[in-house]
Amino acid sequence: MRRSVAGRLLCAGLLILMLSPFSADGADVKRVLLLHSSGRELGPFDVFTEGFREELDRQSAVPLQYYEASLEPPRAGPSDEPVVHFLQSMFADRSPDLIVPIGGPASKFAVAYRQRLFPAAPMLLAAVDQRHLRSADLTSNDAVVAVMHDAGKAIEDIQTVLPKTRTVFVVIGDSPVERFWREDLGREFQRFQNQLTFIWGNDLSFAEMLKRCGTLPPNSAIFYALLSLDAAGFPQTEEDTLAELHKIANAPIFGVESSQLGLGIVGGPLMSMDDLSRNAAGAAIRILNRESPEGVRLPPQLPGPSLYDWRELRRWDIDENRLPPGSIVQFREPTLWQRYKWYVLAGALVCFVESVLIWSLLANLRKRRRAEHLLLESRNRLSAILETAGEGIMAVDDRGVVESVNAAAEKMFGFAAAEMIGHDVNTILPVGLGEEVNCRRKDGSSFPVELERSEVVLDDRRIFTYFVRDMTERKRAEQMVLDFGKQLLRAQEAERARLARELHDDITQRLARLALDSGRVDFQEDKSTLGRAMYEVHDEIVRLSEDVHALAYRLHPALLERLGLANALRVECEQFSRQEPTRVNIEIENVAVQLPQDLGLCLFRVTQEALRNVSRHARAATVDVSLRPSETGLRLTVKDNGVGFHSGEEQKRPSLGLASMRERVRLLGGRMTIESEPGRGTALDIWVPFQEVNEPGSRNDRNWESHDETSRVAGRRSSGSG
Amino acid sequence: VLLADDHRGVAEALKAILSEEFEVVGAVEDGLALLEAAVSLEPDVIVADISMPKLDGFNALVRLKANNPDIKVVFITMHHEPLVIDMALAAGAFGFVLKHSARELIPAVRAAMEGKTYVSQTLTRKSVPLP
Repeated sequence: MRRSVAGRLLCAGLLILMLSPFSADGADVKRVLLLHSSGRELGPFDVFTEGFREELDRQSAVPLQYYEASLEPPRAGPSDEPVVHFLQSMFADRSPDLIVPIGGPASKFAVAYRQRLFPAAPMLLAAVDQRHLRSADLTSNDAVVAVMHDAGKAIEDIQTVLPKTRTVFVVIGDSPVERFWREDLGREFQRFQNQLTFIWGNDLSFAEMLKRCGTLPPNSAIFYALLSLDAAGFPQTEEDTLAELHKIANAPIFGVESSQLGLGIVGGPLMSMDDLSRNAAGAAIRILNRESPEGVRLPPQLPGPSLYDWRELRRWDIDENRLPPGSIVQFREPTLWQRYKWYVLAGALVCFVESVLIWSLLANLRKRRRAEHLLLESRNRLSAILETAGEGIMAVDDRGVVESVNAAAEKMFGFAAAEMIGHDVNTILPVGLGEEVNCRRKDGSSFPVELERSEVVLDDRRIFTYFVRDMTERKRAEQMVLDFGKQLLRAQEAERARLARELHDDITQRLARLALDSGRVDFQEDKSTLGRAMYEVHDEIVRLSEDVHALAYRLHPALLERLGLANALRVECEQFSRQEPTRVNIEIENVAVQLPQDLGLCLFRVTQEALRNVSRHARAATVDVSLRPSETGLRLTVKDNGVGFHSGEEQKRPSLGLASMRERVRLLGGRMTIESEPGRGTALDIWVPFQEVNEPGSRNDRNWESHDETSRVAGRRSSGSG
Repeated sequence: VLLADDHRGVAEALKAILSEEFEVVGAVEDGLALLEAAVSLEPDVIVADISMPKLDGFNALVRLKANNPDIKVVFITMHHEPLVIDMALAAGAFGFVLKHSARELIPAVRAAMEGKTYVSQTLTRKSVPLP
């Protein structure tokens, strides 16, 4: 926009002077006159001018002062006089240190008016096509940095990248220089006439050109040569025309200058403005450094490497593979990937990290679910075991509070689980542990249990597990066995007693009467054969009587009841001493005469059996028998100094005698131990309680004050002693 | 003499023997009857069995002694164990005669009447152990 305003000012034919910021009066300041072909802001040369000045300033050792003048805007005819006058007046006092005409028209103008304006000033003809120059016109003060455009090559390039092209619209204006080029191009393009149809824009206004370019037939291309003044006489700026053309054209646009790339052209072998301005600046410096301008004449610059606009290639669907070798594609838009590569990578990384996290969380979750499932299963299995267990199981914490109970415990105690959980375990279980303790049900009844306790430490917390086994049935069975054994023993003893009594009361008495009767004969007096025979009969009757008495006594020690255990034992030992070679030492302390019948009989029989064993096996010199009260019972010991035996052998081959002794003791709830070693005699240690304690749980009555129990035990005690 | 034996046959034999020299004032068959008869009949000597129903000879002796410390009792028994003899004598019996030693009965009662103690002469015999 700014440029089009400037363009309009130039239309008025004004010359613009531009001063550099440096002081114009400085002695060392060099003055450079830039002579533009068209308006400063027009055409391709502004890009050149900018690059040139930039480079010149950079390389110059002294400050430079620029003066710029433009020929009138492209004109239809020659009217150079105003410009000549202006320049004359401007540089009247001092001619510039360097004159740089830029482009063909300016160069032509400068050559034409050189003698009039600056006959001795060095001049650099820049950016001028070689075709505008004739070496004869150049003086020794003239340096040249020319170009050599090659439009034919540009057309060939169009054919290369778009082989189907049949029509080429040539954008070209109607100024003098453009007319020059119209002719030149016309000649140049002759060689394509069989392949291409050229439509020339020099007869059209720009508006008409636009119209034509928007309706080109298929397989067309637009060649943008030069347009500074259209046929209607309107000056044009390259940037604007290219922009409008690009907007409307239905065919790709090709150009000639590198400055056009990016403004809408596809590309091609373009003249590099950067190289040109750099070379021109280098030449200018040489001249300013007082090198002879004549020697500063560079070979004309040819169109540089092919440059293309990536966006246009895409727009017209031109395969990059078709581009000539060495082509450079510019304005390549980064692909989405290139543009967002890092975002994508970062995003992908985040996604990956999240995926890993999620995956590991899921795996963790799965593992946890599995563990939970297993835990649940094992818990269920465990609780099934617990619930179906026959034993009551109670978990108790270290303060004695019940934490859980199983079904068996509920059933056993008659309490619901809720009635036990949270309560002190001692309200349910007795204090003691062991085989025979009594527990109390909810209804108050008591039952024997076997109680075990195990301890676990979980997380520094002690948990006790009580195993409660209801022993009622077992105790009952045991009691039945005991009772049965006792009954058997009693029956046996009763039978023996009956036999003994029979013998004693009947046979013995009858024998006694016989003896009494037969004994009345005085054998001292009657020495007859009959008397002797009678005596012998009497004697035999007496022996028979004694034997039967002894037999009866063996069967049932009547004395035991009559004299008490102590005396019965004394009698027994006395007899033993008399009959056996073994001396018996008997020691009896504080043993009451009246003892429970079973107890007395038991100890008596055991002693009998023990003494019999001594006589049979021990070959002992002495036997010590002792009976004394101990705790709540009687303790009987029988020790001999005989041959003894291995204690283990008794278990292997239990003798009937020892077995019956054990059984008798056991039936009364007593204990019997035998200690023996070969050569060291045998010691028998027996303890039998006064009262029978084979009732279940009665041993632990102290823990449970049961009126039932005590009265029952008391009753038994009284009946036992009665 | 008061006779106490629960076996009638033995009692008759004993009565026959004792009647040769003493007057048998009565014969009882158990310990309690003996206590009553001892009070009612006031015998000089009581000849008693040890093994008797209701109250045995020992206990009867203890009770008789409690009533009448001078009562004289001769035991006639099948028990020949020395301990039994010792106990009987310790309890205050004046005589201890084995049942089948009829010859010793008269001397024993006689000795008792005289305030002497008599122990059967045949008490040295061994009893035969049963298998």
